[in-house]
Amino acid sequence: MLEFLFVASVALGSSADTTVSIERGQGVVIENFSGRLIVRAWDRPEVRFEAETREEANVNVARSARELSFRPGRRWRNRSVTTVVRMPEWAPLDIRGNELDVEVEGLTGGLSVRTIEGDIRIREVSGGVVARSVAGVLEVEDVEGSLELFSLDDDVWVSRVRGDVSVEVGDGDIHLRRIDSRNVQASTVDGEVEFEGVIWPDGRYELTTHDGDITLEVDEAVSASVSVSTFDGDFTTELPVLLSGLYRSRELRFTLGGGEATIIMRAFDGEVRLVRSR
Amino acid sequence: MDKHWTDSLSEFLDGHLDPAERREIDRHLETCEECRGVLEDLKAVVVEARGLQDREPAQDLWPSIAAGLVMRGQAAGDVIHLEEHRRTKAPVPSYVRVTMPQLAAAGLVLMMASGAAAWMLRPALSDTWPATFASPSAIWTASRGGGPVSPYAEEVKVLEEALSRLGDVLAPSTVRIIQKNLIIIDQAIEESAEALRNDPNDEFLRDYLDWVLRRKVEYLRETAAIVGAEI
Amino acid sequence: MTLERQDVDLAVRGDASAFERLYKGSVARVHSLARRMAGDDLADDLTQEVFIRAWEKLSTFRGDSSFNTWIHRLAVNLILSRRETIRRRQKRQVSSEGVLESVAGRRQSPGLSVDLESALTNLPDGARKVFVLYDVEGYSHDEIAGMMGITSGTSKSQLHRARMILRTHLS
Repeated sequence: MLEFLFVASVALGSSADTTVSIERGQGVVIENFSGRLIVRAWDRPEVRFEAETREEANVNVARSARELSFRPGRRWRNRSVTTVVRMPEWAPLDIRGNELDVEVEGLTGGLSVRTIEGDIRIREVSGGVVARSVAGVLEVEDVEGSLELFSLDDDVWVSRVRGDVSVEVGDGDIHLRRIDSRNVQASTVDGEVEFEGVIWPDGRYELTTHDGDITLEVDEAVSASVSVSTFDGDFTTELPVLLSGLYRSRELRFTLGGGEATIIMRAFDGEVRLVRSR
Repeated sequence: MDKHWTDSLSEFLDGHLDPAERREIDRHLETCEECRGVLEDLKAVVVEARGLQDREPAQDLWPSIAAGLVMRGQAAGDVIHLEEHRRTKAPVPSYVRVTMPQLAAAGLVLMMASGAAAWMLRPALSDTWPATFASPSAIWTASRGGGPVSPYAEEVKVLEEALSRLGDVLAPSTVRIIQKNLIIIDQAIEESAEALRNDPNDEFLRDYLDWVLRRKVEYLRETAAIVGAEI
Repeated sequence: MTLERQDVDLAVRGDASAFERLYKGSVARVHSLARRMAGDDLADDLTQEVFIRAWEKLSTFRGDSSFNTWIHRLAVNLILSRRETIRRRQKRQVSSEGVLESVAGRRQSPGLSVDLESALTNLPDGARKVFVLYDVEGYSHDEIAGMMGITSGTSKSQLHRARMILRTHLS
């Protein structure tokens, strides 16, 4: 429940600028803005909301015991505006936008971003990340903790992640580079899937595409049981593999090293490649 | 838009329907303005496609082609030894390629090694291998002509309706993107179903079709959540 | 004997300048095909590969069709076989929405075919190939099915899928 509601009417020359205090245990919600939103951490127990706009604009701030929320005020309408938010790194952040490009960097309290059309860029964030877009490129770098991504209509680029990774794409490629995870799931209907990273002996790695190629780049010393299936495509390998035969008519199984980790790759119409890491 | 009718419009346009089907579409077109509009659009696309003009490449490619001809011309006359091959740094495949049909035909336990190392054959993997797909959660049928009946049809319908209620609220570009992706996933479903119709006992294809059908539900669910559709 | 046939005979015997004349007469068609099927950034490489392959296989050209038709067919087969390269999509350079907007923005201009060319980059691979082969190049569904290893039913539905997507781009 909202404890109280106030309107921070902020028409300070060329920018809408407001700063409010925040306590531990509270999260930040930023909702319904369009344009570009940039979020950075700072070491003050305050959230500063600064919109670059030449016209008078206001932002509604609501506070409850659990959250501090920012929504466009009446005079904001649907303007597309660049907004910079500074907040403590420990506060969880929830962003919901319409046509909004989002950039977030340096938070540790967890992050959820949802935008209908817009690119999402996330760097150096921990505490769990969820990002979803109908149409937009998702770029994620240096994340610790679980990562869950969805883009219906564009590519996903992920690098340097430690934690579980789940990526789902409709029409777009998935690039996973320098991943250190024990649980990876990536699937697209129309696009390539590429994975390069550590294969943990107790890990599970599942890559699927309906129409596209899959490339798995692993160290030669990898220990994994691998299943490759394709309806209409080839399998190529740079690593020596020991085929244990066709398990089903379109599925190959083989081991690499001691066969500990589980790797599953499926390309209905595409090539599956196993590549030695360089 | 009624998919049943629009799906036939390309074949109608190309004259691939039999006379009875053709008459049916003709009759439908008399009363359906929307389908007439789609047909006009499709015609426009076809006319454009036929009118495309060929263009020369932006840069002259002949010099690099000529270089390629000389190189191969020499190679054709000589026996190339591996050492020479290395010296000339011609690409040597560093991988082994297997096609699934080859393997299916062989039906054998095979060993591949891209290096010179010798590898021991091992017994097939144990039965504890995890299932690569969750088993289909319901029976589905893929009868010829009838199309696949998804066990998720009801859920798909609810989600599609929830999204279509937002048709006026969402930006036209968003609607187009969602529609495009629904076409893509439906096509994937149709391709998987067709593969299974041709090979009804294939476990991979059966599981795969289920996976693709579930993807559609997932996409709709995620998309509905992003755009705030009320279900 | 036609000039073209003479050039083919000379080229078979190793005359590169005769082959260059053949190249000049057919490069626009081959390059346009490669560009439409595989995208701008791959078209140059594929075109070079087609002509080098043609040079190697020229002795198998029996002359029952024109050189243009022969090399065109060779180009189609080669491009289709390069599926891994064709899949490299141009999405990173041009987001799909960017294409939609630029297409819509040029709608009124006389160069509609340029719009169609750029809209092609937005099609899924399979649909794009079928569309180019059927609507632009005039192959039949049976021929396309044979070349792509699909059924002619799939070819028809891919074509319809492509046209339906292009329709939204052009209107």
